[in-house]
This record gives sequence, structure tokens and C-alpha cells, in this order.
Amino acid sequence: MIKISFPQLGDYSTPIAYLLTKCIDGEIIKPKPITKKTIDLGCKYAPDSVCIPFKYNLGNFIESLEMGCNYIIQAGGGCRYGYYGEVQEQILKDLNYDFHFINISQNNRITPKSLYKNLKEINPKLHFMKFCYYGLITLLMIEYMDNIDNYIRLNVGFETEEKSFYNLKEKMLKDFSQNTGFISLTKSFFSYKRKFKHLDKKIPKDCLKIGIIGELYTSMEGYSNYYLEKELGKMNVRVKRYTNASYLLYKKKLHFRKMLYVARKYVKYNLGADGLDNVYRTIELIKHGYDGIIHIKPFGCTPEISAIPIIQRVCQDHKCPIMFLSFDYQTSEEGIKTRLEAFYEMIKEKRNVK
Amino acid sequence: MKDIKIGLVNGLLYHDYKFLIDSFLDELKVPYVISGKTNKKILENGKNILVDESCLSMKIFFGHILELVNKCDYILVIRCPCLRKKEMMCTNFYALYDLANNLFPNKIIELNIDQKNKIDLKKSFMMLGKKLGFSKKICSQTFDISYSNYLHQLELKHQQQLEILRNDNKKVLLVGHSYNILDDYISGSIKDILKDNNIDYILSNYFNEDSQRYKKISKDVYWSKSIDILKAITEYKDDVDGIILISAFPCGPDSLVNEMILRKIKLPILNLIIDEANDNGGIMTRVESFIDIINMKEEIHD
Repeated sequence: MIKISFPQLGDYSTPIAYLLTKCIDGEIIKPKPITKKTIDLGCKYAPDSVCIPFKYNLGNFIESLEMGCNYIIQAGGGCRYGYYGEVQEQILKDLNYDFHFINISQNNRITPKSLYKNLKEINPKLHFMKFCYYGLITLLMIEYMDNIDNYIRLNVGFETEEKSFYNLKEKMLKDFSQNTGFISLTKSFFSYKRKFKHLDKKIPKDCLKIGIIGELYTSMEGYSNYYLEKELGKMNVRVKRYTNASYLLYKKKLHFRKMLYVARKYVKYNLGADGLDNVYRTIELIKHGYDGIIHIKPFGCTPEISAIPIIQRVCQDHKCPIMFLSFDYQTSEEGIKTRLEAFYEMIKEKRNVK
Repeated sequence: MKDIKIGLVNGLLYHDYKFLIDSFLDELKVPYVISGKTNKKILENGKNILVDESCLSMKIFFGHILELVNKCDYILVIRCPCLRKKEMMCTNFYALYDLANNLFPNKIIELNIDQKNKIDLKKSFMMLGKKLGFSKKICSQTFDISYSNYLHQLELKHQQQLEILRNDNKKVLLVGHSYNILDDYISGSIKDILKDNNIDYILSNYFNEDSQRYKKISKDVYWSKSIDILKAITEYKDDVDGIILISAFPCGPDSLVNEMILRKIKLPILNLIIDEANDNGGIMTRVESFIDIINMKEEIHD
């Protein structure tokens, strides 16, 4: 009996679980939501100076293995992510767990081909056309989710009824995972988009706008940034975030030349991983008149650290406030909140002076 | 761009290509100045320029640049995202040129080695030569001479190491990136302690390139410099009594690859992580107890 699990990453467990149910004949164990226990487990067995997503992932795996799963999927690429798999496999094997580890990233990249090859190994009956069909539906689902998420981020701070956005989104994810094909998925997307637009909200004319840039895992997984976006929403701020799964999966490649062109004054070459993207985003956010930028990353994230001095220079040139947050195992939630409040007061004051 | 003076930064990849760059510029008769040895002041300067979380080697590198700024017209920075095909380097090397160029505008000239975009070592040096105002033909000839020189030097060093392996002393393999192992500010004290205790050491920088046996330790690793380290370990591990891993804090690739080495290699291994405080007392104690372990191992066997 195949019991398969994967690492937790925001809400994306829905599309991943969808793809796996369609392609694999077995039980899908969704990872438990991340808690303090997850990160404690991860920190106990992970190397000290590795970045925090590694520890979250490892904690996820241990929790899933305890629940009796025997297949684990890991994928990633860009910086250190591509090498996570092998080290995590070794650590878990040394802990005497009996399981199969499936590493989708090859040579630090995820390709549809390697995904198909690995799924075929688990389920030899999997037909290539079937894989393509459900793969495309999954991609479309991710695209729709990100589209709705962008809308939620901009408006959730102004909802009149508490948790109305959240509840509707839960319902949407459930409906998305029960779709019967392209048409039904698209239909439910548009109907939910309409529902979101009709939710009650009060948007004042001069609300503050903040852009969130930074490393991908801390951007996408709510727990790892202590639900930064929710905090900002409570302060009645419109939030914009670029990093999401659809961006990483295919939009990034299409944008590369444009990014290099826009950022040409500061950057001549690719900065590795999401470094260049973040310089580009900083410029774009400033161009669109955002009041402030928050840059988030896990402690020791190499590509972001190299990009920070450049981002600082961009912000200095344009006199844009920016705050850098670095998340680690011991980061205190209260500390983050205090800094966030101070930052909020600061940009508010700046707006008033204008 | 003739009659200019180039500054060479004594940090990061310059340690690897020292012979090559020096002889290339010598042959072209371009004047150059090399920043001195790393010292406390350089590290302090680098710390002030960069973000706190940057790795120790980066801080040292930018400290050296600050040292050079007023001594030359242009500073040579090696940007190297992809040294060999299907491999990559730590992302610090991707951003090195742009980072330096933003911190020291109009002062930086780059040597861009990027196999992914089909710029190999020769092409990158020819592009550098072109920027310095030399013709293609001269650059190509000069590079060939310097490159054979450089390979010869590497081979010599490798032979010297093999020589050391043949004697009967206790031997330790120092493992780490060349910019940590060849920089005396980082690893000098470790070498001194080993020497005082009559233990020979060999370095992981000089090894046999062709071997593929490193895949036994880790098959997925894609960082060129980490692969080099694993190659060196597989080559020397049967002939040495212990391994000392030296890495800078917080090194991205090393944090994972060292974990694999510690789990796969069955030899006494000391994992030293050097940070800005560079507390010599602590390092000394750990290395000395490691030496005791190596010596004791022999006694038990006897």
C-alpha cells in the first residue's frame, strides 16, 4: 500500500495532492500544518547552520513518517534547495525510518520530465497523456489560486465581516480539488472570483500600500513568516507579493530579459536564485508608488544576502522605506510585531507629511 | 585602456587562479598590485560594508577591495556562476560583480567565467584582455602560455602532496574551499598547531580531476567547489589518519555537504566553523584534542 506525503508549502498542498491522487494509486497523506513541534523536530536533527526551510521540511517528513507514510516527495532548485533532498534522505535513513525517497529535482532544477519519470516509478501503469492532462489542470489550478490570492491580499484588510475571505477561500480550495476537468475548474474559478468581489468591504481612498519581496519559502509559507500578511491586513494595509508558485514554475523564465533590462542601472548579470527578481520588484514597487517594502528571508539565505546591498541602494536612490526581516528558529513573534508596527507608523507619518 | 593599474583582490577565487592571473598580466605587461595578507583591520572593514549575515569569506573579500580602492585604477573581480557544465557555484559568485559594482561604482572590472552561457576560462580571459586593449591574437597566445604554466604549477603541488603521503608521519587532510585553506588568517593557526605536534598536513585543493568516485559520498551535489572537495577526500582518505573540515560561517554549500561527509566517511573528522570572532583559544583546544584522538587510535591498534 502506497502512502505518500510531501512537504508543506502554504495552500499548495491542495494542487499537489490533486495531482498525486490522479496519478498514483494510493493514499495521499497531506502534511500536518506546521506547528512549534514541527520546527522543534526539524531543528533537532538538521545541521546547525542550514537555512530554516530545511528544518521545516525535515520536521514535516518526520511527522508524516510517524503517521505511517512510506513514500516521500521532495523537490526544489535554485540555491541550496536542490540539494536538500539527498541530505534529508540520509538523515531520515540514519534515524531508521523505512521509506522510499523521491527526489524530483535533478541538477538543481525541476523539470516535467523528471516528475513524470519519478511518478512512473511509483505507478508503472501511469500513461504519459494522463500525466500531461492532469499536470496541465494542476498548473491551471495553481494559476487560478494565485490569481485569487493576489486579490485577497489587496482586500483582506478591509473586510467588514471577520474571516469572510478566509472561509470563502477554504470553500474554494475544496471545490477546486473536486473539479472534473478544465471547464468545470474554469467555471468555478470565475464564480468564486465574482463571489470574492461581492464580499462586503470598506476601502478608504488613501490606504497604505506595502510590497513584500524576498525568499520564496518564507514568502509562501505563512507559519514561517509568522503570518506577516495577516498582521498587515489587520493594520488595514493593501499588500502586494510577487512570489508564488505559478511565478516560480513558469513565469520567472519568461520575465528574465525584461527584469535585466529594467534593473540595468544596478545589475548587469543574473544574481542567482531570486536575487535579480527582487531588485526588479523593488524598482517596480517604487514605480507604482508603494509606501513601503518589506524584504523577508530565512537566516543565512545566500542569494538574498548578496542582493540586499543592491536593494538598499535602489531604495536610497528613490527614498523608499524598506525593512529587512530575517527569520530563524529563535525569531520571536513579538519582536516581529513590534518592528512591523514601528514600520507602519513610520510610513504613515511619511504619507501625512507629503 | 592602456597604462592602467589593476588591483587584484587576495580573496575568494583569486586563491584558485593566482598563478594564471598573475602570469597572464605579467605576459601582457599590465602593471598590477595585489592586496596584502588578510588581517583584523581588513575583516573589520568588510564587516562594515556588507550585511551582517554575509559569510566570512565575503567580508574578507570586500575588506581587501577597500584596501585597494586608492591604490589602483580598476579592481579585478572574478564572477563565476558556472565553472563546469551541469554544475553551479555558490550564489555569492553570481552576484559578486554586481555587488562590488554597486558598492564601488566605476571601479570594478570583471572576469566572467560562465560555462552555462558558453564562456569558458579561455574566452573569459580573452574578454578581459580585450577590455584592457589587447588584440585577440595576443590574448589567445598569452593565455595559452599562462595556462600551461598554471597547469604545471598545479601538477607540481599535487606531486608535492603525494610526496608527503609517502613518509611515515601522522597525516591529516585539511578540507575546505581554497579561499579558506590558503588564507592564513583563517587556517594559519590550525596549520601551526599541526606543525608543532609533528603532524603533516595535506590540502584538499590539489587532487586528481578525473575521478568520479566522489559520487559514493554524494550523487546529487552540484556545486563545483564542493565536488572538488569530495574528489580530494576520495583520493586521499585511505592514506590519512584524520580529516579537518574548515568552513566559514555561514557557508551555504558547506552546511549541507559537510553533513554528508560526516555521515558517510568513517575516519576521525573535526568540523571547524570559523567566524568573525576567530577565537584562537577555542580552535587550539579542539585541534589539540583531535590530535590526541589520532595518536590514541594508533595505540589502540597496536
